[in-house]
Formats: sequence, C-alpha cells, structure tokens
Amino acid sequence: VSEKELSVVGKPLPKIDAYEKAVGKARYTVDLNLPGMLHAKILRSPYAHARILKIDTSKAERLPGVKAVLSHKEARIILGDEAVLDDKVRYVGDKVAAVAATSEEAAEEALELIEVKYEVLPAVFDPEEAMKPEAPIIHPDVPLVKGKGNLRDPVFDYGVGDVEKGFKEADYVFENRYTTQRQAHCCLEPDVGIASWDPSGKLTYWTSVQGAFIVRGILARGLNMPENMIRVIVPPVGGGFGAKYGRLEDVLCALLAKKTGRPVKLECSREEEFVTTRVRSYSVFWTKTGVKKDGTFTARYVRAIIDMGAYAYGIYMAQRAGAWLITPYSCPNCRYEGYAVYTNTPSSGAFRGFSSVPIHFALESEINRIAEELGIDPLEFRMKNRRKTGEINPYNNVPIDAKGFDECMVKGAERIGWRRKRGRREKVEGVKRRGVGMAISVHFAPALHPDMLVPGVAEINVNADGTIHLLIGVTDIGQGINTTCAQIAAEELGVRLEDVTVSNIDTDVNPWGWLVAASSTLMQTGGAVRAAAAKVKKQLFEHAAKMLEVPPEELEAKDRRIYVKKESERGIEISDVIRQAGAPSISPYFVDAKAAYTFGAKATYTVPMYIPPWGAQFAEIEVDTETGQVKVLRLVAAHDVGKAINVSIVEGQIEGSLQNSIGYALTEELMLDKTTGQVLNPDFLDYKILHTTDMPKIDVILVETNSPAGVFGAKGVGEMGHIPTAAAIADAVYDAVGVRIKELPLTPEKILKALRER
Amino acid sequence: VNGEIHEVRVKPYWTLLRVLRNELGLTGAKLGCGRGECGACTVLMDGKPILSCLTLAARAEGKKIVTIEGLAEGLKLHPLQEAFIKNGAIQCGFCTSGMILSAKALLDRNLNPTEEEVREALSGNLCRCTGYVKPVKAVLEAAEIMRKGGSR
Repeated sequence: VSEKELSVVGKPLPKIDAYEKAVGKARYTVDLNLPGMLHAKILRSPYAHARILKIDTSKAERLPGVKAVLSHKEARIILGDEAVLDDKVRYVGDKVAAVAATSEEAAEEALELIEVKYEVLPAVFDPEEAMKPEAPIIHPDVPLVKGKGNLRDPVFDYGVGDVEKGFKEADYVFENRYTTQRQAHCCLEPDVGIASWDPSGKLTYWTSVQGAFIVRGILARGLNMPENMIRVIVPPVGGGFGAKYGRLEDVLCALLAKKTGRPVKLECSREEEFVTTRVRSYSVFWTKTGVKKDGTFTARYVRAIIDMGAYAYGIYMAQRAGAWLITPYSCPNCRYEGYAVYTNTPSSGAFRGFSSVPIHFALESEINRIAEELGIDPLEFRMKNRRKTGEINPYNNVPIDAKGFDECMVKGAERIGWRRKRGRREKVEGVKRRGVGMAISVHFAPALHPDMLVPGVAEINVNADGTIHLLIGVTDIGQGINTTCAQIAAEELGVRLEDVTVSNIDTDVNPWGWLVAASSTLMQTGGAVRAAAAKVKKQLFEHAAKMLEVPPEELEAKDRRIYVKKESERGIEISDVIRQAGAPSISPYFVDAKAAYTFGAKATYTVPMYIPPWGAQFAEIEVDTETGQVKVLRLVAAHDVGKAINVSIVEGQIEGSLQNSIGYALTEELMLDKTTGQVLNPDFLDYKILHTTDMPKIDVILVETNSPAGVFGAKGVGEMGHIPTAAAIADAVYDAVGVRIKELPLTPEKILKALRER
Repeated sequence: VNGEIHEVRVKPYWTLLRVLRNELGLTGAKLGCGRGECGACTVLMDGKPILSCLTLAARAEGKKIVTIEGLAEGLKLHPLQEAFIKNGAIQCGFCTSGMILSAKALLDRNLNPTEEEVREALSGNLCRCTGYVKPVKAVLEAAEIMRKGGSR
C-alpha cells in the first residue's frame, strides 16, 4: 500500500447505488410483480402457547380468489426446533396457516374463514420463571437441562483462572443485576419474498435478505431439494440490521407457489415485522466483580440469561457474550455462564452488535459504578485495566492488538470536555441537571474465534475495454459493501470506481457468501476482492512487462494505466494491454474473445489474525428532575476503524448505529402483555424510534490505526457504534442526578422512581 | 402525476399509494407501515407533502401529484437528489424518496432554512440507517446550491 498514493480507497466517493435510489428507480423486492402472481397472508396465533386440536380450511378454500390454503397437515416440516407450520403454537404471532389468493384482500378475508380449535396451554413469559422446574415445557423434544425448566442444553461455561480465588483476594466484591429489553430492528422495508417455479421444477425466490445463500440452504432443506434447483435473487434491500437471515416463511411462500402453480408474493405487515422478526433478546445479567483498592481486577463473573423466546435462534447470544467479559480488560480470573432459555415470547436473534450490546450495558455500567465507589475516575479506571498490546486474550489465546483503544478514549474524552464536566452535577434552569458519561466497546470483526470464521469469496471478470465485473457473495443491505468492494478492486487494479460494476446477489451467478454479520463483510469479502484483483493485476503486469520490456515487479497501475514505477511516463493503457493480449482479428465482432479468458480471477480470503475494533463513546445529557425525561445533548463516538475505505460510508455506519442505540437507551422497548404474552406496541407510534428532531449533536471521531489484519488496514465498523451508547448514557444520568438505572430502557418512570427512592 | 394526466378507475378504499405503485407503476413511494407513521410513502399533493398510504386515491382527483420519479428533468437531477447522493445520505434508500419530497416541500417555501427547520420538515420521515446526520446536511447543502442559482 505504501508504495503508491491511494487514489480510490480512502475517498468519500458516492455510493454506486445512490443514483438509482435517489431517483426512485431502485427496484426492491416489494416493488416486483410477476404475471399471474398471487398474494399470500399468514394466519397467526392469538395464544402464547396452545395445541391445535382441529383446523378446518374448507370455508377459506371456497372463497372466490383463494387458490391455496396450507396448514400443519401439509406443511409440518421441521427445521431445528421450528416447523414451517406446526400443530402447536409457542408465542402470540406464531404461524398457524397460510393462504394464497388473487388479491391481498381475498387472502386477508380467507384468514378469517379458517376455523381453528385450540387447546390453550399454560405459558411462561419470563426466562427466570421459565427455568423453574414447575414451568410449562415449551419444547419437550429438544435437549434441556434437567430440572431447570426450559433451559436449553448446553449451558455455556468458560473463562480463565479461578474466580473464587480471585474474590478471596479482592478488597471489595461488587454484585449487581442488570436487565436489557427486547429491541426491534425496524427495517423500513418489511420482510418480503416472491416464489416462482419453472416447469423444470426449479424454484426462483426473490427476497430482501442479508444472506442469500443461507436462504437457499433453508429452502433446500425445507423443500428437500438440491441447491442447484433453487435460485435466490436479492434486489436492493431496505435495511437488515440482523433481522433478515431467512425464515421458515420463505419455505411457506415457496410451498404456496408450488401448490398453486403460480408465483406467490408474501409481504409482511409492519405489525408482523415487529412481532415475528427475531428481536434483540430480553437479557438478565448477574454480575460479581472483585477489585483491589487501587482498582485492579481480581475476579469478574457474569451469569447471562438470554431469553430466546419461542425458538432457539438466540442461543448464539448466550454462547458468545462471554467474549465481551474476557476481551477488553485485564483480569486473571474470569468466568462466564451463558443460559439460553425458551419462553412463550417472540423469538430473539441477531441484531446489530450481536451478543455484544446487552452485556456491554451490564459490564460497562458496573465498571462505572465500581470506579465511582472506589473514587477513581471512570476514564482512568479503564486506562488502568484495559488490555495492553501483546497481552494474551484468554478468550481466544491470541495476542491483543489494542492500538487505537487509548486514542479513542483520550480523543473522545477531550471532545466531550470530560475533565471539565465530569462530576460537576451541573444545574441548569432550576429542575434540570446535566451530566457526562462514558463506555467502551469491542466487537467481532470478523470473529474472535476460529470456529466463527467464514471466508470471503470474490470473483473478477475483465472486459476487453478494461472495465471490471465484480461478483461477491455478500449482500449490500444499504451499508455500502458493494461500493466499498468496488473501491478496493479499483484501487488494486488501478482503474476508476466507475469502471467497476458490482451486481446484486443471484445465487446462480455469484460465488458463495455468508451472512452480512459480525462486522465481517469488509474484512473477509473485502480481503477476497483485493486478493482476486491482485491476481488479475499480476496477469496484466505479465503481459504489460513484455510490451514495456521491463520485469513485472517494476510496474505499477493507476488511473487505467500500467507504467514503469521509476519512469511514470513510460506506460500503457490497461485496455491496450488487454486488447493486445488478444488474438489479432480482422473482424470487429471478435476482438474481445481472447481477453475474456486471458484475464480474470477468483479468490477466497480469511483474515490472518484477530484484531478487533475498539471504541469509546461519551454522552452529555440533561435530566429533568420533575419529569424524569432524559435529553441527550451530545454524543461523541470515537472508533478505531483501522482505515476508512470510504469515510462517508464509515461515518454513516456509526451515525446510524447511534440512532439505533440512543433509542435502545431511552425509548425503544417491544412490550409484552404480562398475562397473555401479546406484543403491545407493534407500530411506530407506540414503539418509538428516534426522529430527526430527537437526535442530539453527534461527533464521530475516526481513529485510523492501519490494522495489519484488514484489507488496506481496515476494520469492521458496522456494529461498533451501537455497543457502548446505553451504558454511556446511563452513566451520564448518574453523573447528572446520582442514580444508576440498571434496567434498560431509561424511561422517565424509572428515573423518577429512582430519584424518589434515593 | 408528475405533469401527466392519468385516468384511473379505483375502488373507494384504494389509497393513493396503491394507485401510484400498482396502477401507475411508480414504485418510488414505499409502503413502510401503512399507518402514516414512517413517512416512506410521502408524495407532494399540490406542493404539500402528504402520506399517500393514508390518502384515498379518490381524494387525488384533479390534484397535482409529484412523486420522486417526477423530480429530475430527464437526466438532470434536482439539487436535493444530487446532494443526497454526494453526501452519503442514502444507505438502504427505502426512506429516501419520502425524505427528499418532504425536503422539497420545505425548500419550495423556504430556501434559507435553519438546521432546526430542516429537522422539523423531515421529522415525519423515519430512517433506521443514517441517524439523519447526512440527510440533514444534504438538505442544507441543496438549499445553499439553490440559493446560489442552482436549478429550481
């Protein structure tokens, strides 16, 4: 990289899909219609836990316009612990039956004509209740821990050293309990899919997802079909955030299309979106921490209870969350216990800051509390205890590279005015108090453990005129990965951004790719893009070397031209290299033929080492002590991004994360009726995400440490901004009014109650 | 609609959004919630931003509707579109058309808005990707370009 100045990477170039979106011509899945297409609707359960004794679809089938009705009688296809349609329902909103009809109205009307007789079963909505031996068992057929109700086997239990010994060595031992709420992704585009079968028996499925090949796998298993007979196409996606990695509704849509012989579109309503898209889990954290008087940790213990809801998508949260106990701070004795528990509530699953967001709230809040009680500034406390570069991280036994961690904390503190403002309990306008708070974050990107690593794949095809077709296996969900990868390819090959076309995913065309997840796409797929581009560049240089009569290693490529490094005026256009490499042709129709197979490459890539992104965030807030209302005045987000391939995209990732996470801290909670388990607020009026007018002043500070693990020095940053916000705001509330709220979100009711009890 | 006259037979309960998307093929306006809460369906009716998911199609009779598809003149983009592209204000893009049209309604009556006025004008348009930072910046920049005589 150092050999030449970067000309495409590092520039805040407009996203390559921005134009079609700005003019309203981007065609999302929901915008597509096929000839003869039917519309599907799903009947959903009104009960949290019930057995379906009888289901009669005959009246629905006779309704004009209705072409097919499916129930568990035909679709009891089980994947893992969930069926496409089951004879049992496990949360309010669970799938009961599905209809395909010529109009949405007919499909909706048909749902009301389906007669279902339920045997209502006792239900349980709280994970701690659900672990009691007397709790109703939701999944009798899956491995459960004996005598622990709905606790899924295995319990995750790992760490380092001996925490009991560590607690004995401590001067103080702190214990606490924190809880975090269900959060909904709120993608602006609700889930949608269109299934269409060819006469040959091949299924094409258009859908809005962040993992096309994962969906293909689900369809293949659900339909018992070979993968080559399934083609998944992903048009532009209206947001993902972890929500869109395939659902059994996809299988249902395909089954309806198969049964009717017509294309079927299944569109989720906003209400279904809120209830059925695998929310961020409700979580409980029991923490116990041993410290010396000087603030040195002697032992850290957490028991995490992750509410998986009705199905076990959330089990990975329980498995992974211990990484965030062990990784960021030095402590000889750490122990993590992760419990994954079924309840009769909407399933939980991945959401920006996978496994990291809830536990960071607990751990960082507890650190702020301990620092305060020991009389140590929370910033100093972290500086003292944070892992140092070269230390072995016991989570993965890999040396830590913490370059950038300090800089994030120092620069962020400076920007917010930490030393001037912390601990002042500043009064403004009589009843209002101001405070500042902080927290740090660390995350995967692309992984912290080898068993989580999924390589990236990229393929580059070269046209005779020197333009490029780039195929990757991961999806652009708005985060800009297509643009970022195009920039990487353009930089490596020495062409311009507009010379690179990146196609959206079509599983018949693109190389295999994993999910857009774990902040891994840039690290893995971006690395593969560079590797593939480097192979193509090598091919080009070999030909150019002969033409320029110098060894290939003396060449450089930039701005569509290959030239001799030491004599930059001696060079040749890339398009000329390609054309001259081709066979001479007397026909204008065939000049490109040889170029098409002379140049082009495919590459896979896995990061050579684990270097996580580090970050620190600082919040300045105002509490109205009469109403309990918290207003965030300013949020400073300092993140070690390694190297920003596209500054505008990187800032956008962090800014968006802040919108998501300030909501998580203050206003967002998917609320359930405590007696029925029904979601009470499945709409944007009652589930409040931040509007333009709710956003504070935001300062994004990009720290660039040039990570040796990342392509062009980059780190994955898609999730980092979400992780520390809630703890930083809660800490600022403490700084303002002296109360620590341990249950998210920080609602006015909780703050007023705490102020009264103080 | 966008300077063209359309005659459409509608059912009494059809919304303007449905007619625009399904009958006229103008899919730039999006259905995000169907309850007037997210703003993705925003279009202009006689110059004012309205929620087309809550507006009955019949109410649009004789009215001038502008959708996102009607903003550019041929290949020449509206300064708001240019500014949204240039400033990285578009991520997933699902809220973009509504946001740009809300902003157009503002700039059509006030070419010199404060940041607060821009935030107020966009407050009915939910976005989950951008944190609104770059969209607000883009609107302010477009206003400046238009004040300096950029087109429209």
